[in-house]
Amino acid sequence: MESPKLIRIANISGRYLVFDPDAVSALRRQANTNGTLVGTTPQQPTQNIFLGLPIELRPEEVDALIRTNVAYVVDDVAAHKSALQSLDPDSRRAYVSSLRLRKQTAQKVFAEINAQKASITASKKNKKARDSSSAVPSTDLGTADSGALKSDGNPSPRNSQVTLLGVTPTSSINYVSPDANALPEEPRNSEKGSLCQFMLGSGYYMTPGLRFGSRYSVYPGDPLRFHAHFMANEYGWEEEIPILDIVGGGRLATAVKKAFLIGGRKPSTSPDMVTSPVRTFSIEWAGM
Amino acid sequence: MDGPHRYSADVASAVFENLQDQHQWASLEILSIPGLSRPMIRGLPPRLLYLHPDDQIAALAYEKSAGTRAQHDAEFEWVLAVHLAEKWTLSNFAAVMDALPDDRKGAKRIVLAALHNDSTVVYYIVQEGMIKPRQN
Repeated sequence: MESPKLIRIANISGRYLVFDPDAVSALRRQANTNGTLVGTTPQQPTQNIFLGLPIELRPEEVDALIRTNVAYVVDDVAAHKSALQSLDPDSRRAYVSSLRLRKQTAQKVFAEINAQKASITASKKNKKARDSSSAVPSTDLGTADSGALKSDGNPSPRNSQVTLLGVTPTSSINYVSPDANALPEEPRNSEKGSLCQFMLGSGYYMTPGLRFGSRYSVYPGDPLRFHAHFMANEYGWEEEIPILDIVGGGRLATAVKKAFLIGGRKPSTSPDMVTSPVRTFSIEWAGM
Repeated sequence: MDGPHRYSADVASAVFENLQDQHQWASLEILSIPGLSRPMIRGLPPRLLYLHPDDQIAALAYEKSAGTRAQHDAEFEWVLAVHLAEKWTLSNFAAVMDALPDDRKGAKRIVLAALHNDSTVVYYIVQEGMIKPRQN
């Protein structure tokens, strides 16, 4: 492998996912690819914000990353199957003990938080008791009673919860050989995705463009630091673009202080693999 | 026989008149460019139509330091007249860009005029390359 670590992209049922947090940050820092967070918990799934790892990448982004030799794609289902079947007793034991260690750590953290909470409520109760000792004593007794009941009842289910707590690793990178079942690099020869490739190569970041009615929102830097400059659509070289789409896209983009970008690459006519440059056009309302 | 030609000439003349009568453009002419099947309109708008965002910032800085507005003379523009119902391709736009003379600093640009049946004309600035948007 090359000195900058190649990023492992998992292909699972046709989707391209990156699970490893370090790989995600490397993609963002070095390959200006932020992807879309799509991970959620099986229980209490959040709606569409506050999602976590993994990130999903677009097929054309993956294509561009393969072309620039930043990443490689793995058939993750096959990799997991073969890893599970070929697990020797030693690595199996190592895996189980690492899970146990994580579980213990989680347990410890949980117990600490519980203890902290308990001490806070205890100090509150003490204060309350001192404050109201001069007032009616019967009510004080009542609150103290219910509090005692709670503090009696609370820890025991919590504790049982802690013992039941399982740890699901967010990434299986330590247990599945990273190179296993790597898919052959197949840089697509079509012109499709050439705009995405061009923009990634020019240092632009992209997020889904649906909220502005286009394919990409294009940022001059990290989307957390910049506003988008363009809403972009890729077209085939001879693909028909209705003028009404240009008017609509141009008008909307200008209204949100962006330019409407259309672009694509002319298919190379000669077979000697010399690709023609990507042509892009920026469209803004003329203000007249 | 010359149906398509008549059509594009009619669209061009409608846009020509709109530029002349509604937008007070001057020195208007309809030109046929070698290599292009459609006529192009060339004319001078009453004031500068497009200022690059970097030049906008420079103009503001000048205004702040000098106390007077930076003077920007109007520039001749190339206008491509199309009908709203038409469909264009990237190769068509590239052909127009390539056929126009490169006589200006900065990116090549055309004004795309889209004509509708009710004689409404809307104007869009189309520039070659990824040109960041103006801050308006």
